[in-house]
Amino acid sequence: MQFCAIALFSWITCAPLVSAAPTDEASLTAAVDQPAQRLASAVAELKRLSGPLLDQIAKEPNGERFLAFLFSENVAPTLLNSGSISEPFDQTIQSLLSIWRADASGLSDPHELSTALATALTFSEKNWPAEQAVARYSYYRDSRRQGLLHPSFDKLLTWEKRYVMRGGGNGSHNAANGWDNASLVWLRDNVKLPIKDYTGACWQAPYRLNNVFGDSIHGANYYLPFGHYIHAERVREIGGVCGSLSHYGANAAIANGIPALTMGEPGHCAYAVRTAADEWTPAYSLSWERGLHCSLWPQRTWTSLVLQNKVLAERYAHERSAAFLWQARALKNSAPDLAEDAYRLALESQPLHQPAWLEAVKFRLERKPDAASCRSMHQAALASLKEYPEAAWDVISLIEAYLVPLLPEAEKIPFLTEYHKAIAKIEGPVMWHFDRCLKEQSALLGIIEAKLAHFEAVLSCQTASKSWFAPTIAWGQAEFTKDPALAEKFYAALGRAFSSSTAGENPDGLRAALRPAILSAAESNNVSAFQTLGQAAKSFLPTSPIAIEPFPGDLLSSGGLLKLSSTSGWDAPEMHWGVLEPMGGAFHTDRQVHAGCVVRLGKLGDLSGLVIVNAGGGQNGPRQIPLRVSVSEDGTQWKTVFEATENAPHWRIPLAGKATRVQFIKCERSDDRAEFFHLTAIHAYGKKLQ
Amino acid sequence: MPLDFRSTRLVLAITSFAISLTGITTLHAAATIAADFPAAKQAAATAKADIVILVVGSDWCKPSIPYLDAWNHPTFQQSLPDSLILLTLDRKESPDPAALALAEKNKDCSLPTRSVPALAYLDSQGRVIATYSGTPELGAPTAANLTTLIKKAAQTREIRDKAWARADQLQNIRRAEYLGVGLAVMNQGLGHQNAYKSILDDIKKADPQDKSGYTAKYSFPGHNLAPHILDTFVKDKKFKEAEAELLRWHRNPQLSPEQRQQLHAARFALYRAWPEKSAMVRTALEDMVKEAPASDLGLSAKNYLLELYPPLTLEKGWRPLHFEKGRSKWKIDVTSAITTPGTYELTFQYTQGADALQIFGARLIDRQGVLASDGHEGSTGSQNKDNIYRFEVKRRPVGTIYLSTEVDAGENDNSQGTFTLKLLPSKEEKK
Repeated sequence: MQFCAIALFSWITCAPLVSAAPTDEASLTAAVDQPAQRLASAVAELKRLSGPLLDQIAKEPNGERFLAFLFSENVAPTLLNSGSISEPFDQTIQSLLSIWRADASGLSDPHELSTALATALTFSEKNWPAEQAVARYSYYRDSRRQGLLHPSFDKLLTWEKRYVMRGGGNGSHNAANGWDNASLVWLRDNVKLPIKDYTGACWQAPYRLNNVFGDSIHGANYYLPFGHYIHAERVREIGGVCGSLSHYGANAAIANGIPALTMGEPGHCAYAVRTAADEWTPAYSLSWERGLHCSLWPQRTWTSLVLQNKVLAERYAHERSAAFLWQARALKNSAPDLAEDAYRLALESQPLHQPAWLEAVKFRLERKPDAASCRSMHQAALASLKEYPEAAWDVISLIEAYLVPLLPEAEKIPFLTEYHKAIAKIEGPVMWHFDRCLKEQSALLGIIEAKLAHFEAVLSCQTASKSWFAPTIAWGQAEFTKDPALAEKFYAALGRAFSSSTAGENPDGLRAALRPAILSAAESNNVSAFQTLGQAAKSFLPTSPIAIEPFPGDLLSSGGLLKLSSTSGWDAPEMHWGVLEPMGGAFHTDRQVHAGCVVRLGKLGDLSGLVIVNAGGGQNGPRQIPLRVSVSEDGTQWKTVFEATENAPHWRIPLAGKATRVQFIKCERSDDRAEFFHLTAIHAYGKKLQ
Repeated sequence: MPLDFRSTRLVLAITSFAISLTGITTLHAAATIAADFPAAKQAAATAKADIVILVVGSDWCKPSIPYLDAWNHPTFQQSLPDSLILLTLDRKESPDPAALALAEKNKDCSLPTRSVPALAYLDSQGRVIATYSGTPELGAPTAANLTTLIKKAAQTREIRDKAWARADQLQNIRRAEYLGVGLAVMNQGLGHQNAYKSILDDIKKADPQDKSGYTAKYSFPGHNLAPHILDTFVKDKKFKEAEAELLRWHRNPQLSPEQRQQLHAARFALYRAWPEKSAMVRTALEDMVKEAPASDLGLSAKNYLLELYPPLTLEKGWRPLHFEKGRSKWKIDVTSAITTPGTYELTFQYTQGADALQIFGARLIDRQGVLASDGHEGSTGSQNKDNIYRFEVKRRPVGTIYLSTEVDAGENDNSQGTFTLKLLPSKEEKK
């Protein structure tokens, strides 16, 4: 306590802290493990971040009282240990100061304190005006006190509340008449749901490309005549497309004190709700390619969201790791060797702390380490982060970029494949741009022969991988087949990997390469890989569209993914892509009960109808009978929309008004016969909802 | 720590007391409590009784608790209309096995409610008559208020059923009309999950040529009419066909005021794209306002009018729409700019358009008459000539002050510009 008081006095007066500087690993550890020392470190870090602002505040009325509050054990460490912080830190301090001035007594309640800290950390960025912080804090304080928030809000820690305080648009604070505090109040009172139901809340607002006046959502007039509404209510009454609907769903959860965020996907806006302490559930999400509009780390990928939640939830490990990081930063210039020790201790305290890895690796690489040292750093990073391949790649790509040019040629490819060996059996936590890794690794190798050899080495590592095999083939296909001479070598490499004879001009070679990759892409729900590989096999498909009468609207199945209940010796996966496209294709399951397939549409849609082509009917047509067709929005809850009991060349199934939000279509045989199942085309038509 | 919501225990106590093996317990001569949705439906079908459902979340939704208390209050049940089946739908987040089993039984209870707490009123066939979602729609959490909401819904159902009973005595168009009136009183289209589609089928059967207009009323595209007109006709410049389509809808006497507003909004969309009929754009919006000025669509049309046709003001200046044929007389409220006696300077400044503005003098007028005037002629265009007017205001203005002026902008009235009115410093201030 005495030390604590000295430390506080020292920092309130902004005078240097008189304490023994760490000189070795033992003193580093001792400083972190003693609460008073750890607080002193936090205060030192705060001062480093805040600069002269604290001196100015000290001179203001009640300034010293505020600094005493800021440097207290309930404030300083929490402020620094609740996710990434903005530098300069001035806006965070100013936001906290304005909240403290407005409600200093309220902050003695830990609930309000964590709300205040989360608010200050949120209103620390360019798009979050500090002068609005008090209003946001007051909204949550008052709503909580009136019992108007979900009770789980009371259990949230500061870092968790940061996802709540960010109600707004595209991760930014919205001015009046947007996703502002008035919208939060409206959503709080009008969209109060069990937590899991917020993933469907977006559909309370109708999907409308044009308003009642015919104005497009893409123009300036869509919401213009409706200024008399609060924005949230306006979206529910007037409608919108994916952006408005996802913001409605996410802000509805946020308004009720539940962590949620919006996120960008290719050509789409989705959102996610934290439905349990360790689970984020994507909502209105159509792709794994998600860019978070709110992240507590600089990285904005889904992997990062999963990982930051795990890391920040390990409270004590994280605090310890952070304390070593502060030491490392303080020692960087004066005692770099000791700083390295501090970084190592930070990582040992919490091996999944990826931002610490990035910081530590960058520091070490700046010191020009030798190859052996780099290799051991590479191994350590892989060992720690391999369960999160994307996060691991962000770290080890830095090391590889430094080390590979230093390695002898013969060692380069074996070194690069270490990463692939480490992650081959890991499936998640989510698909990511694995091709980024292949591209960056390939770029480190100079000549084309080396690049092909690298591809072949990676392929042999990933052949059995459920997640990474298909994207490896897809990347290779895109990278090496533009030049015919190169394509020859590419197919030869594939042939060796699959132990079958193949050649560039040989369709059998292409087939042999693509078949397992297409099945793998479908199995791992990797739409982009399925599309790349399917289009690569286009030469096996008919060139003209299949002769069927379409339903109104777009061909929503196009660009989607086809997954079979099983494959068989009669199946030709290179024909699968065509099943969803105008020209048609083919698939053939094994003999089984309830054989069939699931189509993931290229676009979420309001269906006008389905056309299912039964290979012309014929003698094998009855294999599909009785046929049951179901639709689903999420791939788990199905609604049967059609049943056929008689063989037919094809079935036209009108669905206008009956399947208004569909992402998946299931075609299956509904009796208990063990039989094959095959179709030529599954075409879904309708209006896009994205 | 589990939530300690007092009435969670209360409702459990009442429920366990009340529910018999059949899942139904009559607590009073009138109201009956159902244990679950299947039991409620069965009891409602047997007794031809309506179902009232209170949706709460006893372990997470604190605002729903006062409604539960009111729901369980003896005065509430005593005040209800005859023969109602009451069901509490408790959407728990952490259900125990019993609550889980109950939720499974209730899984087919699909309601179009958007928030918790909520109240739903269903007829004896389980079709929705009315819903109230969230505390703003529900109003005060009192037994008296809940009773009022329920009675209101019951009255809607009674009017509907009277209309449908009358329809059963009639044929053809008259039958269709009464079926349509019954649907219209509920004001929910064909209802949640198209529950009333069979009524529309009956209307079509009774009146195949739709002389009653009710088939059209319930096929009306609503919000989608304007997009439909743009996509089907305007895209291919089939303006007359589009107008004919809208006229066809216009002739239908059964359209509600809101549907008529949607029709006018579609006219607006059509005329905006149809150069020869651009003069009708404003009329379409004005017609939309006239249908129901205080409605949301009425207000939105007003807003659009203000945006497209802003009034002549000192702040926003003039636009082509502010001119009449020949000379135009403008009267602009300038009260906020003329506050004290002194010398004021008014500048007319052209900003864009093909025509210059000719100015034939200007005056300031208040309640007592002319306050000041400057009668010289001037103009403003690509070049300015005498476009600044000076007013010596010698007395304190009284009431609203107007700037009165006569202007002209040639044959096409294609002129746009701004006004600047400022108080000049007095001689003393200049010193």
